[in-house]
Amino acid sequence: MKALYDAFCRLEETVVQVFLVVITFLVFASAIFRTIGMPLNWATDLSLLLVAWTVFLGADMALRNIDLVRVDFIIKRFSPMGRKVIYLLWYVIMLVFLLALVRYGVPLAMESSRRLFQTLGISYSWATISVPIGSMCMMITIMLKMAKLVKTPGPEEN
Amino acid sequence: MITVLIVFLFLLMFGMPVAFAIGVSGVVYFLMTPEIPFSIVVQRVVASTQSFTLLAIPLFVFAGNLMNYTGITKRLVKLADVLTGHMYGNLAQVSCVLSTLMGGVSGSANADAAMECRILGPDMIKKGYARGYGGAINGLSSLIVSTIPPSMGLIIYGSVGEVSIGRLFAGGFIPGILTAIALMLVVSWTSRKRGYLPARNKPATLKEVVVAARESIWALIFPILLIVGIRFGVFTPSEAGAFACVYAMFVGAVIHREMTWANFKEAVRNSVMDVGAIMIIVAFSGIIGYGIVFDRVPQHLAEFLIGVTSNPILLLFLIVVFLIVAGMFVETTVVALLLTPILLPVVTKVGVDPVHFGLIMMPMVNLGIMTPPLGIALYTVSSIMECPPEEVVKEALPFYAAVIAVIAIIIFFPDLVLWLPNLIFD
Amino acid sequence: SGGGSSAPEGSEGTGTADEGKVYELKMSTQLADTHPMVEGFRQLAARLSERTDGKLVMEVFPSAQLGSDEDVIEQAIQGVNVAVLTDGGRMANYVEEIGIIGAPYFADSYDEVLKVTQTDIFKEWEQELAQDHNIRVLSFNWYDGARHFLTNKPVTKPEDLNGVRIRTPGAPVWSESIKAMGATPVSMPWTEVYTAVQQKAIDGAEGQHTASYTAHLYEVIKYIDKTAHFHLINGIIVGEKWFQTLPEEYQQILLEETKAVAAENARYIQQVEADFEEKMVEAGMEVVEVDLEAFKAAAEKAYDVLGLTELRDQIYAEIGKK
Ligand code: NA
Ligand code: NA
Repeated sequence: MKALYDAFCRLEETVVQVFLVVITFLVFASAIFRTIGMPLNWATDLSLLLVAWTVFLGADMALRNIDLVRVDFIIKRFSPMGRKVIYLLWYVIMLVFLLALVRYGVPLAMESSRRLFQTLGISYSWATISVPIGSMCMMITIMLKMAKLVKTPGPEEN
Repeated sequence: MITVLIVFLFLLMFGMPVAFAIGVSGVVYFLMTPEIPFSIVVQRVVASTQSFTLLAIPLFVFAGNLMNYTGITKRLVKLADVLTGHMYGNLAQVSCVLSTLMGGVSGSANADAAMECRILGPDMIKKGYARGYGGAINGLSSLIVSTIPPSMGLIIYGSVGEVSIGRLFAGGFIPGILTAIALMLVVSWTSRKRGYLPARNKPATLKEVVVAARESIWALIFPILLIVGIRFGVFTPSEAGAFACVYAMFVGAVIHREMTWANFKEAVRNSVMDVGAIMIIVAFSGIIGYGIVFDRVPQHLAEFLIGVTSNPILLLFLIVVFLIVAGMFVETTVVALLLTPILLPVVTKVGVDPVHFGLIMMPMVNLGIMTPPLGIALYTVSSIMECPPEEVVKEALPFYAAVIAVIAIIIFFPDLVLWLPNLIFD
Repeated sequence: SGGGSSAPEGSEGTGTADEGKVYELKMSTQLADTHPMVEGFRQLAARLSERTDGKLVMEVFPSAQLGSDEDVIEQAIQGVNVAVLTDGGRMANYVEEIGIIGAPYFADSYDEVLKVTQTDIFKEWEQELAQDHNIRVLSFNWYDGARHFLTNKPVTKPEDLNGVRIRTPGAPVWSESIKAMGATPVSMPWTEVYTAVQQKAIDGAEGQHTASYTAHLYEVIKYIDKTAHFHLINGIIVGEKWFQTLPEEYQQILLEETKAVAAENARYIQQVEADFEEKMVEAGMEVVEVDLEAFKAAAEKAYDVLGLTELRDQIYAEIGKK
């Protein structure tokens, strides 16, 4: 199970990284080709599509590997146990929020499949679906973090 | 909307990650407005990422990371030390100068702040600057970027308000440079107090400068190439970030030969995590943004506000405060679109020049992105400098004061804005 | 069926279950607040309120506040109480043939496009939109004027556009048309055109006067080449789900008034168009008269590429053209 999840993470991280590099070269190439009079009009739409995926899968990667920004001057004064309880509560709320994005995002992508990226001729749903899929990945990450937080004997949050 | 605000502040204060505090409170609006289908939440989240102008953020973040791995940053900081090393807080001064130069390049303050935190942040920390201080100056100096042309905000202001964009651009130079000077003065004062000591005790000799400049020639050419590239139409400001990345890769791999495959992979990896952490805040903000617009909150507030007084100076100051608040909660370009048609006729009626007002309005809206409780750039710099936003805010107080002081001066002396456009166009 | 008990009971609508209920509609557009068509939307709002005693309230949301047109169409389909001004191209995602009203030189004037929107073929498309895609067309007779090329060297014939990079929206109908007329189409956001032309990232644009004038393009572009290659006809759509919540009486009022105000507004736009042209000339632009027949002949290629020739003949037959 753990091996499978690790493999999944590696795949996810590779995909996002490749996307960022592709976006960079797409935007660069589109400027160069426009200058020589052969504009790539599909490049903008394609880079926007890839950006959606980079953002939502990248957010999962960030959630897993670095600390997301938060205000902590009040929470710092709490007892360690109190802090642990609050963090668990926040994780639960975040899970519900993400679940809602999945629950309503998948039907939205399916219902509006006729909306197009005009220059690509492919459905805009390919961008929309990045939200529920990214959210699903973030849910898994959060559940693992919760498990770790509960198991940690000390008060330390991660 | 008040409920949404209270929920947001509560979640924020009690340590929920900022992105989720924003997203969850946005959802509260949709729960209170059942006639809007919930699927629209998802639409707003995707739509917030689908802007070509916003592409500048990932691209400049990537560029910043690449420069750290290609020897460009190292040489640039070395040159900066030679040139400004006798000054207090010299890296913070460099941040101001860089933003002034970048003003002509990037249309996005947030992208600029992110890049400079990546480039200058690590050295600032190494030299003993507080993380919050670094975040504050890299964030606030990026406001210069939004004033010095080209500026997306001014284009929108000009189009919606039927004001000459050429005049607005010309009007932006002096306020931009004044902001830079004001920030540099504050840097020198605060770093003296904080003991961010000069790296050297006297100005460098010409010979030292020449040696350092030759070493960092490729880093020096970089902003010049960017500006030339834009002036000659090779790329638009939105595309400049991609050029910066490719240039950094080229210099790192071919000229400096410092960028290995492993370095490159690490730069990409760090970048996607930065992008995820920053852009998820932008994306989730789209949820609240929709509610604010759907209920016409900015318009109602603006209409209330302009009824309060007819004294032009007092009115301008009220509007300034209101614009900063609006800039916190609604995306910069959207504020320009929503409020220009409401505010502009009112201020012109009391005798304020539209170009003058544009250069009061757009910097103030941009200040909102660095202001608590909800500032995208504030959270961006906190994320990259790895420190809580409240520390950045604390360190930023004197810088806020400087920016406000510049605006006050500009309000009282319209000629600071109008002199250059009048000179060019009349 | 969805309108509850609102049977057609005479114009006062007395005794229906919806008595006293206020219906709100948010009218969205990407156009700026100052655009003359937005004035038309405000008139429409006033008329609706007047005829329904303030029970059908329309609020205008210019400048894409609620999202891009595509976003708002999606919102309407999902059931939000929004209306949106849209061109044929966006509707073509749902009923492909509608795209033809955006093809080059498809019509020679507003009145001719109007005839097209009254054909049986067009009415069938509208039905298909409502039944299969939850999109209700309120009226498809809004006019935004003719689009012309805007360049920094005078253009009189298609050959003059060779190698000239012209900004146009990304949709295939537009870019194929611009290509057929000889230019190189570049897609970028309209708000970037000013700086892109100034810095020579592109050589020009094509647009209708209402847009070109408000974008201040006269500050950076010298010539208006009067090709009039598109007559911009727009429709207002709402979601069928929301439409069916309205009492039938209000549905009728909404349909009637939208059409009536659009017709008046179209005349007004034609005046404004001339007025804006004058102002742009005063600001230093020059109007270039072009060889229209040469451009029409060149544009033929777009119909071949897009496979629209047969459909066009069919429609021309119905309106008795050529
Ligand atoms: Na800076
Ligand atoms: Na700028």
